[in-house]
Amino acid sequence: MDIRPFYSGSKIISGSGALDALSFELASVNAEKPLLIASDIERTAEKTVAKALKATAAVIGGICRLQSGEKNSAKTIAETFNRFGCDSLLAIGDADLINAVKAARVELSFGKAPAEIDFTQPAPPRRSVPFVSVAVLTPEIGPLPNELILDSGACITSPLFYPDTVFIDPRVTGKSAAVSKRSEIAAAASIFAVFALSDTQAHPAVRACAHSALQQVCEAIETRSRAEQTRLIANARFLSQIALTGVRFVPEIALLPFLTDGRNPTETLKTLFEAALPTLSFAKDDLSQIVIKLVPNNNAGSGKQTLRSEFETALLRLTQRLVPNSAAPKPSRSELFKAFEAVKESALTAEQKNECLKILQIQMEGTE
Amino acid sequence: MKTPPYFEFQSKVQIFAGSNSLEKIGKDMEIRGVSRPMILSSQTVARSGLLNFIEKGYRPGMETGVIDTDIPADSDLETVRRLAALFTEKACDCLIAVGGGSVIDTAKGVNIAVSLSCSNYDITPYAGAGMVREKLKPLTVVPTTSGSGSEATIVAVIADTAQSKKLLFTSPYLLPNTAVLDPRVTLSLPPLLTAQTGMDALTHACEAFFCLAHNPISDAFALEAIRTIVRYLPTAVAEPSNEEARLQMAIASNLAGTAFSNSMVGMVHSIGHTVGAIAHVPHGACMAILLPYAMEYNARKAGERIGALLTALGNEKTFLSTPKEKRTQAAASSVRRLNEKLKTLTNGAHALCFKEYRSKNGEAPVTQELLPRIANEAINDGSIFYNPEELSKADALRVLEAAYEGVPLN
Repeated sequence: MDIRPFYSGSKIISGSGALDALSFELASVNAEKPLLIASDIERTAEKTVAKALKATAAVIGGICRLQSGEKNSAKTIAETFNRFGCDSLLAIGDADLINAVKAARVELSFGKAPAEIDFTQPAPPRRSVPFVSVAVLTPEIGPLPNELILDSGACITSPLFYPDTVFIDPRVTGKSAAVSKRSEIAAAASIFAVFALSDTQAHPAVRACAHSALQQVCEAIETRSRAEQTRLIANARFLSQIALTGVRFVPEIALLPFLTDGRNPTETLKTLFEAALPTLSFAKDDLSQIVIKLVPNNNAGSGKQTLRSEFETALLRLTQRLVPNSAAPKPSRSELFKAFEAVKESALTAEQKNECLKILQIQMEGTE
Repeated sequence: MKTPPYFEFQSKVQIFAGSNSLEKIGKDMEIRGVSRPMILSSQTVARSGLLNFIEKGYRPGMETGVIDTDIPADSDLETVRRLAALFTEKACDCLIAVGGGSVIDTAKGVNIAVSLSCSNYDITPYAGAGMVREKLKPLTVVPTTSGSGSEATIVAVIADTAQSKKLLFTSPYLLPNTAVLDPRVTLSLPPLLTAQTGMDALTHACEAFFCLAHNPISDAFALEAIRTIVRYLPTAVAEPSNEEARLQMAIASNLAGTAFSNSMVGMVHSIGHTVGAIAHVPHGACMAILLPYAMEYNARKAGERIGALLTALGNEKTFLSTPKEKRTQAAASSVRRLNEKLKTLTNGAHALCFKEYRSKNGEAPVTQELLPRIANEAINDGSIFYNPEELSKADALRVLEAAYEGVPLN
C-alpha cells in the first residue's frame, strides 16, 4: 500500500481574460514590480501581456529579452532583476526560457547557483521571489514543472521549481510562435497522459490530471476557434506534465534528448510510445474511460481483452490523427547506437540507464 | 462536458498517502529546513500512541517542541493566542495538526499569529479574503476523519467568542504544505461515523461536479473521488480494520476536498448546515440524507451533469446502457442504494431520512414543525450561490418534507 507522493505546485488560471488577473495575482503575493522575461520569438505574446498589465495599471519593473539557446541566461535574468529592483519574475517563453527563469529564481532566493544547492535538504531561502509564467504553445518536450536542467545536463527535481501561477490565455496561446505545431503538442500531451496512467502506484490525483488532459485534447479536436483550441491544448500540456511529475521514471521520455538530434521530438516520442503501448499496464477503469472519451457511444468492451484492444486502437488512431506518419525515417541503427553510448555516459542512475538501454536494444533489433 | 471559458484551479499541497506515511513527516521537515514542530491534536489521538509514529520518523537533531491537546470543538481566538505564545516560548519552527476541522483551523490560526509577527498574537487584522499575503511557517496536516477534506482548503474559521462571531480567513497561504493520509489514523473510527464522514466526502465530490463553478480539473478529481468512495466506503464500514479501505477513503476524501475547494458546493450544504445548526444533526448524516434530493431538485438545470455522475457512481457501461432521460434519476437512485447498504452495515443506525434519524440519546431532533424554520434559514446560506437551480423558501421546504419522509422528490 505504498502510493507515490503527489504535489502540484502551480495554480492554473485558464481562459479568455486570464491575463486580466495577472496584477491581482501578483498583488496577492505582495509583488508589484515584476521582471518580464520573454523569448525574442514571442514578441506578440510579450506585447499582449504588457497590454494586460497596463490595462490594470500594473507596473513592469523591467524587461529581459532572451534569444533562443542563449548562454548564461539565468545569470542575465538575475542581474537584470537586481538592476531594476524587481520583486517577482514573470516569464513568457519556451521550455529553455522557463528553465533559465527557474535557475535565476533559485539564485535570487538562495544567493547560490542551483548546482551548489542540495535540494534534498536545502537551507531556507534568504528571500522568496514569486514566479509566474504565461504559457505559450511550445513543441519541445522540455523539463517537467518540478525539474531543472543544469548546465552540466543533469536534471534535478524540487517542489521549489514550480511557477506559483501559470496563466493560459487564448490571446497568447493563439499567437504563439509555434501555433502551427499545435497538433504535435496535443499528441505529446496525450502520450504523456497515457504514460502517467500506466503507473498503477501513482496517487489517484495523477489519474485525475491525466484524464483531464485527454479530455482537453478531445475537446480541442472538436473546437473550431483556433485561439480556444490552443488554450485547450495548453491546458492539456500543463495537466499531462503535472501528471508525469507524480509517476515512476518513464524511460521512453527520458530517452528523447538522446534521440532528437535533428529529429522531430514528437515523432520520436510517438515511435517510442507505439512500441511501448502493448507492454504498459492500466487499470480497467482507465481503459473504459479512455475508450469512451476517444470513441463516443462505444460500448467500451464486452470483455477485458476486447476492451484492451479497443483502447490501444483508439489511442493509436488519436496519435496518428494528430501526428500523421511523416516521410522522416525512424531512427537508424547508427543513431540508436549513438544514443546507446550517450545514455551510458549520462547522469541517469544505473537503474534508469538499464531501462533506457533495454528500449534502445529493442529498437535496434527492429532495424535489422 | 465543455470546458468553461475561464477557470482557476490549485492544489498546492504535498500529499503523502500510504501505510507508513506518518513516519515520512520527518523527511518532509528536513526538506523544508525545520526541526522543532508544535503538534496540535486531541487527547484521544495522543492517547492512541499515533503521535509516536511521527516522532519515529524524525531525523537526527529533530525533536517535538510541544504537544498540545487542549483544543476546543470550535477553534477560537483565545486558544490561538495561547498556543502562539507557547509556540514562541518553546522555540518551535513549524506546525503539525493531527485531528479534525477544529484542530486544523486552530493550527492555521496559530501559523498566522507566529509567522506574521502579530501584535499580542492578534490575528483579527488578517480576517477576510486574501489578507494573508506571505508564506507562513510549514504546516503539516494529518486528518483523522475521512470526510471534511479540510486538509485541502484555503480556509480557516476561528470564533471570536468575545464578539460572538465567527471569523473567516481565506488565503492560498492557508493551504497546508503537506497532507499525510495514513490509514492507521482512521482505524478506530466507528462504523456509523465512517459512513457519515464518507457520505460527506461523496457529497463534496458530487456537488463539486454538478454545481456552477466546476471546471475540468475539479471534475476529474471529483470523479476519481466518487469511484473510490463507491468502491471502498462499504468495506471501510463493514471492516473497520481494513487498512486498504481506510487508506482509499482518506485519499478519496482528500480528492473530494480538492475538488470542492476549487469549485464550491451547493444546496446540500445550504440545507445541511442549517439542519446541523438548528437540530444538531451531524454534518455527514445531513449530507447523506440530502444528496439524492439535491440531484433530483437540480435535474432541470444540471440534469446532464448529474447524469454523467453515473460513470463514477456505477461505471461507463451503466451510463451508456441507461437512457439519457433516465440518467439523473438513476444517479440519485445509486446514492440511495449506497445509503441503504450503509444502513444495513451499521445495523440500521445510518439514517435514510430525517424522520428516522436518532441522536445518541435516542431522540428524534428533526421534527416536521422545525422544517419551515430550517427552510427559511437555509436559503440564506452562502453555499446556495453556486447551486444550479434557484432555491426559494417554498422549494427548500418541499425538499425538506420529502427528505423528512424519505420519499423521492419527483
